[in-house]
Amino acid sequence: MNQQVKPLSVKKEFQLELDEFNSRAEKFKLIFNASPDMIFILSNSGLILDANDAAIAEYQYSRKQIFGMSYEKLLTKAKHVKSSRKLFKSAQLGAEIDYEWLTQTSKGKKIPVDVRLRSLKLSENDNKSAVVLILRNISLKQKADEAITSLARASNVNEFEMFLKESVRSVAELYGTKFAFIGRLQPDKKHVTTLVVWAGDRFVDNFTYSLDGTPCKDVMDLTLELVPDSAAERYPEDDLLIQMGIESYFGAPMISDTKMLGLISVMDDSPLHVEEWTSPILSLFSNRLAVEIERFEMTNELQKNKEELEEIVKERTAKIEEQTRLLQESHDALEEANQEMQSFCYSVSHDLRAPLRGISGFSDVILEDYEDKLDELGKEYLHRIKDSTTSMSDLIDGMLQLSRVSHQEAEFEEVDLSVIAEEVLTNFSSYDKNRTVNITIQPELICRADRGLIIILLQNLLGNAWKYTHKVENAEIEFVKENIQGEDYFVIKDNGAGFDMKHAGKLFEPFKRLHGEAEFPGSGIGLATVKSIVSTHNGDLWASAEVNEGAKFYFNLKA
Amino acid sequence: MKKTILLVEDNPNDEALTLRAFEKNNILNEVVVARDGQEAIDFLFCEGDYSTREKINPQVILLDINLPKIDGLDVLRRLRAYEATSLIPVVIMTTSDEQNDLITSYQLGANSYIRKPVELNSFMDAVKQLGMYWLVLNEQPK
Repeated sequence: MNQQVKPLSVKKEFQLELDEFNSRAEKFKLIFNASPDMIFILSNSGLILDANDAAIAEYQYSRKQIFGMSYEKLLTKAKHVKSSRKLFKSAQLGAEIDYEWLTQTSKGKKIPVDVRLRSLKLSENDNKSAVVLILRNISLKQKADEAITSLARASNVNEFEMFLKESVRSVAELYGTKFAFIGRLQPDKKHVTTLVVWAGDRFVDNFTYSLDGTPCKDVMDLTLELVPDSAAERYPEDDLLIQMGIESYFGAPMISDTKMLGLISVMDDSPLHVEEWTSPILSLFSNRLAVEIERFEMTNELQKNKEELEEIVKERTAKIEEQTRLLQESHDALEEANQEMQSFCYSVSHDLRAPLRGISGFSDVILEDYEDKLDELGKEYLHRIKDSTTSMSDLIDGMLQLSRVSHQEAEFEEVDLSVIAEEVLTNFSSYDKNRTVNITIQPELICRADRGLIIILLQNLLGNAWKYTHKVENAEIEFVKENIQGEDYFVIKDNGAGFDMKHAGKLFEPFKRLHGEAEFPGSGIGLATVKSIVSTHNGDLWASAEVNEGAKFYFNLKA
Repeated sequence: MKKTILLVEDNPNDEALTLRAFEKNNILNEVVVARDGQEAIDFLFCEGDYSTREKINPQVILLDINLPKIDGLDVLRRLRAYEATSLIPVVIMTTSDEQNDLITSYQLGANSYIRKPVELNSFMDAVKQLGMYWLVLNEQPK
């Protein structure tokens, strides 16, 4: 035990035991001084008899000052002193006292401590006893608790900015500094832009500053930077630091997966102590902030990508809508043109036919009523007039039919083409009784089609076959189905006049004819009508022929 | 009883040819010609120029569709709307072979629909059959 106090008045007969104790005490002394906890041996009146190295160092008293001093001087408040006396008494009576005090050093620095008070018998015989006071600095634990509490509180805030504000304010509060800020390192790695700045009583506007010559630069080099005093003097190039009259500066880097995000710093215009908790707590904040900032930025990035995508989709949609609108407009214009065309055709058919009827009618009247006054040539001329009116009438009919076929809405159903062909050809023979035509129709040529349009189609194609075989002996007309390169086609074949394939390109154009009117009369509209009907059925149509060897018309319908 | 034929026709050629066809087919009934829809209405309802005529319905009306002032289908619509004229046989005789015209005509109560043929002989046949049917064979409610 402590040499200076010499509390033991030992009888000689116990000399041996005392020696033994002392040798033990030496060992005890070693442990006593090595303890990180602060240990005091107190007299029964509460005076410090002994204090270990940790206690001396922490409370910043010299040995001379501390021996004989009342432990009560370590306490900060009168009411603590009062309550400690009761505890002290209880301890003397053998109670084991565990408690917490707020103590202070000789310089006035506050140290929260865990307290243990135990009674210590100095010897078995004379009942002398002392009190052991063991103190443990819990400032780090307390700060950590506070930090975790404030981080937890900040995390409850949904909004990222609010989280930053809460964090920065908590940090300033924990460190007791006027200023605190969070800075984001810029892509050029030379500048930092603050995300939030706390200036003692309010948040102030964010700003960007150059790292050159600042303590922040040192923080960016992956280290914690703790400048407890004279910060402005140590960083003479940091204008801002000087302007603000900063004395103390603590900063910690925010790192996420080795990526440097920025830093969190606290600053004050008076010096600060570097305490046990100074670094770890700042690291705690900086790590947590790094995670949150990275998460926020990634979420932002994702959101931005999403928005960009949405923007692209929006633009595309707008373009498509615009195109659709233009298409609709031209469709409407076309529709209107069609309507006009139809009404034009309607009136043409009326207005042209009426005078035609007059010409034809009165030619007949002359032929009938004035027959005796006309010579053969006169009669022939009148017949020519009549024939011309008939062709013109056919032409008008053809035009009307073509126009109708092109505009008509098709209604598709199962249609037996063989039956229709039969009827059409029977009809032809009934008008043309002198002709014998060898007709072959493959039965049950069934297809999905518009019945009305198919009748017109077969009337035209079979009509052509009928017409162009007119001058052939043993005329033959065939209507069959053939498979050509994997596709089925209906084929109408005849052995008539045929045509030269080099003119085949004009075959399906309206008013184009490959035969003279005198040779084979016709309007030149029939095949154009056929083509229109086939395309209404999404089918294909073509022809092959040779002069005087007949013609073949191939078509299929894919309605 | 006088069996008048009302011919509603604005085209003088068609009028002449029709009248000749009647004549050639020995249809000797009196033919009243109205040259537009309004005139036809006036005749049928004894109005205007016809306000003094005896109120007897024609035996048959040959009605063109394309007419000045009031078109044929309107004339038909009106005369079917009045009891006194609702039962007069009406034959639509027109150049049009539009399905719409045909359907509308029948819907409005036309009794027959004949497309004016360009060829005179067919036209004569049509007129002849017309006369035979509506003037001779057809029994009208008295």
